Amino acid sequence: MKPVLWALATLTVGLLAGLLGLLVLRGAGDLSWGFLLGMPAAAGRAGGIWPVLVSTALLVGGALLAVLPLGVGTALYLAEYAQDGRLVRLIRTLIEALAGVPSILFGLFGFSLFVVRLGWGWSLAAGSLTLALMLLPTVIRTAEEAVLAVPRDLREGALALGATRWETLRRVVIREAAPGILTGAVLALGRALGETAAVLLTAGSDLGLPASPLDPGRSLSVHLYILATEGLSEGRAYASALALVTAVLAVNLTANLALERWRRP
Amino acid sequence: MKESRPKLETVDLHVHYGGTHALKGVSLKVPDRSVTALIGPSGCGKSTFLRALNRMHDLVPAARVRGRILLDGRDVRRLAPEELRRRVGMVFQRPNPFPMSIYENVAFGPSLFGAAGAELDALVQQSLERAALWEEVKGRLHRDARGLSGGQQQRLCIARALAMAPEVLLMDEPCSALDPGATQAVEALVRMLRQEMAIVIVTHSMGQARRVADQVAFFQGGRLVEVGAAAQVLETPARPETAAFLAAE
Repeated sequence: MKPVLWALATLTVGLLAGLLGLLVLRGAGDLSWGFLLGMPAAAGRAGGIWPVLVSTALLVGGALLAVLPLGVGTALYLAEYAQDGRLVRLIRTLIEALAGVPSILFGLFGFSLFVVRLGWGWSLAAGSLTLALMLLPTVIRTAEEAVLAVPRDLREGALALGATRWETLRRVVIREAAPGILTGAVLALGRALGETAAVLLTAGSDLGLPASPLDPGRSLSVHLYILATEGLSEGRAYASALALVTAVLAVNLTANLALERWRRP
Repeated sequence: MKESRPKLETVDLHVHYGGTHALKGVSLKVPDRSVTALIGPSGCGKSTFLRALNRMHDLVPAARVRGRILLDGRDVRRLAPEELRRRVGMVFQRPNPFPMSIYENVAFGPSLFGAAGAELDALVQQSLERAALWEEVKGRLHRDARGLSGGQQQRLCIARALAMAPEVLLMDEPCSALDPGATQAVEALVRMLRQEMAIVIVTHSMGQARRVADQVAFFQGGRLVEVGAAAQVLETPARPETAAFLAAE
């Protein structure tokens, strides 16, 4: 059995390496500082992707800014305060269900609420909030698990010193759960960077440099999608893909390094 | 000798855990400036008793406590639990340093009640000195406390409790996770602290009870079987259950 498993593992690694190799092979030629920091020309056929990078950062940053307080707050309530009643079980089931909803449905919801009903039009704000809704279940679940994993010893230690429940939560539990919460945030960030359909529907695909959250913008994934489907420039598409993958890897590596240092005193 | 008022006293104390009657009517007097050791087989209720004294059972929805606990003759239910726990400190079985620096660990309690600045610095140093840890950590107060050895962590937890200037210190098998050297250090500390406060210590080691206790209480099946001067209970127990337990140990 061992050789078979070895072969399967090798195949997995090989597929990943092949994917990355292809990106580097096809994309590295077009990837340069000029490409990353330049303005696009001819609908992306030439020039750079600077506005796309800015839009992506604002979009994803905004999504995290919205989803983290909401998600972590909900998780703290569920883990610390909620009694195990019918209502809480209903909330948990709904969160689970939310996690299984295809992202395009979040896109349609965000489109009809933010873009149309609230009249924001295609905008980074609409995209961020839509992403936030989509990421909510991930953030809640990982944060709740992290909070529940905090040892009872630590809570009791704080309470035994005269801390109230809230002080214990704020000063000890959240601190101990922080690496787990951060892991959830990184997971969410990765999904936000990769999301295409919901973003296209809510933030649009405008190639201009956004000046405010109510401006539309084009994220890297959307850019990649448009370059590839409209056959504008295969080289630019691969270079954008390489930039996207590099960004995701960089975020993951940085977070892992931070976690490593955090956990090992 | 004049019978002085006990520092801490329980009257007919019962604890129920869900359907289990874990503590069955314990009445015990804890004198000030002395060490009371609680001994007995595991599951006998000694830790349950200890945790009732600073109302840790309040945190467990399934736990119910009946009977009275008096601190300086006053029912502790008339105090806010936070106030009670400030006056009655606790050290746990396994060292439980908070995920923060050594300094922040010791400063945790006092800062809840508004201590800050130079006053807090002095209190942290003084508490670490009293826990016989200062010399070992003074050069790395702002390092993560989880980097200390197990014995140092336990002394840190004692320092953390001492920073609140407790009148009573509850210790739940504080040496069970420590090596002999660290155990010795903690026992020396207990003997020193007894000059200033009442200490109640749960222990599974008769040797430890002999070395640190003034008074020994033997628990079995949720009941207090026998209580008296340490030498009397350990050497010439009045009850056959106590004798049987000591013989088996």
